[in-house]
Amino acid sequence: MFSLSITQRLSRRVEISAGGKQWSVLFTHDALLEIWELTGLDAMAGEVSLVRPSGKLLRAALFAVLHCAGAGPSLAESGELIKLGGLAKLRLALIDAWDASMPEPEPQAPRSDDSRAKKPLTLPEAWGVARENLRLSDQEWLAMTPRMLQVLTRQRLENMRWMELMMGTVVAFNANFSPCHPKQPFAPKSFMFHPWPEEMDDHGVSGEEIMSVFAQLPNPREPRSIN
Amino acid sequence: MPFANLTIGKNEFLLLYDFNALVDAEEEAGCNLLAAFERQGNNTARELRGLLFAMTRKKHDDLDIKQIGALINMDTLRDVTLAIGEACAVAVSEEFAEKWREAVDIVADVDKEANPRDEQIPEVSDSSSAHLGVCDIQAYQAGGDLSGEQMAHLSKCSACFAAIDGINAERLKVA
Repeated sequence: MFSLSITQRLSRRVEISAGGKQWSVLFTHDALLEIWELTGLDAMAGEVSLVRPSGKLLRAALFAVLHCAGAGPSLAESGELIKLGGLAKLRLALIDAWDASMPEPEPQAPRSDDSRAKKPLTLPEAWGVARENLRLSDQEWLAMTPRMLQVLTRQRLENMRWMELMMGTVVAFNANFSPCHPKQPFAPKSFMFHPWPEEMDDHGVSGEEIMSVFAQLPNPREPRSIN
Repeated sequence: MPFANLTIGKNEFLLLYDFNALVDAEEEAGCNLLAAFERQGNNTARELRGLLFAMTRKKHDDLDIKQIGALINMDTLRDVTLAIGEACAVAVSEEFAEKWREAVDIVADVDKEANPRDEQIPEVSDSSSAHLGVCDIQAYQAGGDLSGEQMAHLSKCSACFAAIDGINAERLKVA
């Protein structure tokens, strides 16, 4: 059980049999890069559809997921694994793995035909976000699915919101009690760059939440090293 | 190797389903041949030529896609379609292929009983006797018109009429 990677243990299990063995398959960034190299299609940018794939895409997808799962068939051997009798089952398994690997739809996201809809990230942009914002190494990013990256991104956003709320509380307090205070007092969230969406904004601040935010600040008792 | 036979004139072709050949043929055919599999019996000319090209790679790799396309005309269309279907059935299992052949025979018998017109049509010998080629069908599918000679031929040839009728039916469905 513990031979499985953290990606496999955190994701829904989808198995494909190849070479007389069952392989737990997922579309990690490594697999998506393989597909990009083999077909020129960027899965992150929405160019890949496993619902009606071409033969080239299906073979590349099977090769990529098996390769990342540790199975070692070549591209041609992957093609030979695709039997006509098992084609439907294989496609369903790949769609299932795709579903387990790709980000969940954001509840607040506008529809894709809406002009406000965010353009999906390309693979290089997703790598940039992982490196720059989340400080992941190349290997960590390659081993992750886009869904895991989404969880980390959401967690980072949540942390940012709490920090901004704390800062906003201080700023609002200063403004509201200053000699030139506003007629209508400022709310702390007026100073947040990433406010919570309206329907998520009805919770009060608990002591635990305040403690978790302050725990991220540097400890003033520890001496700071000066270089 | 589970091959299916296709006889065109005096030539015999051996057809084999091979996924790698299918992928390689997609480049030459310029269309999604996996989707073409799912639409068997209702393929465009390009898809049909691509499928036949893919399935002949194992034994007839000296023929290019244009030469393979030249094998398909209104006379051979039915045989080609059936041979491709048989190659797929054989690739699934021999038992499945047997059932598939039985089903084809039953459909052919029913078709003969329901459409005795095929046998009543006399052979035509005038200038309008040339069957529609794959290019003509493709051109019509792309929105082109038929010439007067071709229209005259349609009134005499049930096979060509059926092909054009199928395209018209598709157009109506889309509309």
